[in-house]
Amino acid sequence: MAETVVKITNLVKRYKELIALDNFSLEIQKGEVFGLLGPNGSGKTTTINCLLTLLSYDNGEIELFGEKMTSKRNDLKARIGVVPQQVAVFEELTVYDNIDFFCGLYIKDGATRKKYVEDAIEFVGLQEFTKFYPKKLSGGLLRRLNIACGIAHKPELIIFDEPTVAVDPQSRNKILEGIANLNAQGATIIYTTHYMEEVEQLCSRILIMDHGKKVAIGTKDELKGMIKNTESVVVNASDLEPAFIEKIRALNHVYDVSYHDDTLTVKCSGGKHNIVHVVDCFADNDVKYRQIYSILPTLNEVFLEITGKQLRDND
Amino acid sequence: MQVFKAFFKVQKRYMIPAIMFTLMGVLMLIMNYAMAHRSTSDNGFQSMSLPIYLTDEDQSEVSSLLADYLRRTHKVDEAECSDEMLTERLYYQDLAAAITIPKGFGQAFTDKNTGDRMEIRSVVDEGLAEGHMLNLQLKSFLNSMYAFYHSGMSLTEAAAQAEQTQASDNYVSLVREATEEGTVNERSGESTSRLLFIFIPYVIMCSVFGSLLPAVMSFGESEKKRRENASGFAVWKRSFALAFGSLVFALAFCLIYVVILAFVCGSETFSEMWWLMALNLLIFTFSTVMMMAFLSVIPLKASVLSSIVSTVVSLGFAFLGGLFVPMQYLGEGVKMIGRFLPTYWYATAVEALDKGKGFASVLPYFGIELLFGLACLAIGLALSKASERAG
Repeated sequence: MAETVVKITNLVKRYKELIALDNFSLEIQKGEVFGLLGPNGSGKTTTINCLLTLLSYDNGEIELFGEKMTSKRNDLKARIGVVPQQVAVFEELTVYDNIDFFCGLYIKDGATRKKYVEDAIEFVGLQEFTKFYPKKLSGGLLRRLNIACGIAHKPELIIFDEPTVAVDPQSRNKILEGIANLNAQGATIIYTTHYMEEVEQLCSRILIMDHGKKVAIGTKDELKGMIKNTESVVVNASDLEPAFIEKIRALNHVYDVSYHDDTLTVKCSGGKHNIVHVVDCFADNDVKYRQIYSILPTLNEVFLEITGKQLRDND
Repeated sequence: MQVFKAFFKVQKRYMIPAIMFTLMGVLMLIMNYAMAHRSTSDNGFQSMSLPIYLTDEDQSEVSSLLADYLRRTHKVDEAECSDEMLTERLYYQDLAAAITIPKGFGQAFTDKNTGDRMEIRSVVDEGLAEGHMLNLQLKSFLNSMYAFYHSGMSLTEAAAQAEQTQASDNYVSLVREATEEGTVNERSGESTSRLLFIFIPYVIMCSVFGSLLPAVMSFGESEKKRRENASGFAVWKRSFALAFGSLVFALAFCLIYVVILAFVCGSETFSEMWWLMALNLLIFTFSTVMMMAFLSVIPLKASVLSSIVSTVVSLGFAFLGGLFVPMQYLGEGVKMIGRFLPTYWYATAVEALDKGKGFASVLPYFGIELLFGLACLAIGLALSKASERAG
């Protein structure tokens, strides 16, 4: 049986009248890349802050590596790495000195620290920039430095809080590859982001939270299975008759049909080979079309259907 | 140690303002040093020859001797001139004074039984120092001549002797003033130490606020603090390292000035007064570091705050505290505000020490300076705690 790295039980956190976490529970197993999703104000950051004991909570319990986590458990804190959303490095220190400083908060031995710092620099690919000051680095390189500062002490649990915000696609891929490598080396990852494609690419399990509560949890396929829409068939065709559209609507597993700007969207719930049934219907009625294709639901749609909100509602 | 070492690495990036302010401080020291030496030298004084108008209504031997003396020492105009014209010439500063030797002056001067000597009539511009100086000179000459004459000299001899007395060099003698402790200090005020120590707090404030404040604020940025707090690195260790680093930096600056002052204060160096002034500077430096701790929690961009504080606040504190303008020239309102600032108590302590007061007299001033710093530190810590709770 896999070791439980994080166990949160019935966590309650109130800010006066506002309930930020409402009996929130969660378990993360060793070796997972765990995606924490939720709109702004859903309680993601509060959860992470409670986990790191940066915030006190009103009720509930947090266990890390099978032991109760309190603000005095520096031994447990030393096994965690944090990569904050905002780049938190010293503008006045070089790349090397920044990593050395943050690593030094955990590792006292000079020789070990030197090796760890060099490993971290190599891991994020900043070998050529060790003597640079952060001001001279591009946004992507700065993000990589931010990551290096959080992982240099080789933590077992790493919390990434939206590490790819405002990063170019090339750097984003590098960062995602790096996170996958860290996981491959044995680190358990908690990953929060607004980018659904990153979650799909990276996370083995995903939790969607809203209003401080767990809304859904599972693998991406399990989550997709939780929503009505399982497939959308899209057809580009002109001048479709209402009577023909009604015939499409009457097909098995079809629960919604819309026709705008010469594009027919047929939403299906369950069933297999729905696209074949739609193609047959067009052929049987001798109706021409230019293009037909099928779209499987994305996590974005899952999120939208479950929470009723866009994930990036601030955009 | 990790935070302490990093603090100095961060600090290194803000050394330009510190170097700049140090150079400014050294320059100010040199200027004040030069000023101190010029103003205490009696060779710096020169007699002045003033344009005066003279009317001798007496025409006696005494009046002619006096007129001769005035002709030798000043530019005397004796041509006919109406009262209106005289007033006009005085107004336009063409004349420093209009002097009239009244009739009967000589007789009154030579008569020993005359209780009140007849006064010379002298009209001067009340707004100018020259006229008053001339009156003093005349009075001094006549007093001397009167004394010499009535001690047995002839009028000519008395006039010559009085003139010689006026012309001879004057030496400033040091006033021996007893302090409260009963010790005797040979000081009349305005010592070199006073002139040099008085403005150093301004440079210390500029250096601390311009160079140390942004470094401390860099460690206080919320995301970095969050990262440090998540690491399990004890908050007290971090705070201690930052406080210790700040003190080492500020004391290094203080020490630079103390060493320079040890060289330039000459014979006053290592005297009791000098040591107490150095102690005063050290206490002020502590107080400034504590003020900086308070300022570092103000939620403003470090570069903006540091430039505002190092210019506006330092300058304001310096002026209101009497670092640039001597206390006696400050208005009551300014002094009232100044009492709430450590610079005022620093300057008060320097002036007291300059006047020969001892440690017991200035101890309360040292205490007020420290209390100000401690109050700032307490407010800073409370604000920091409150913002952490809110965040």
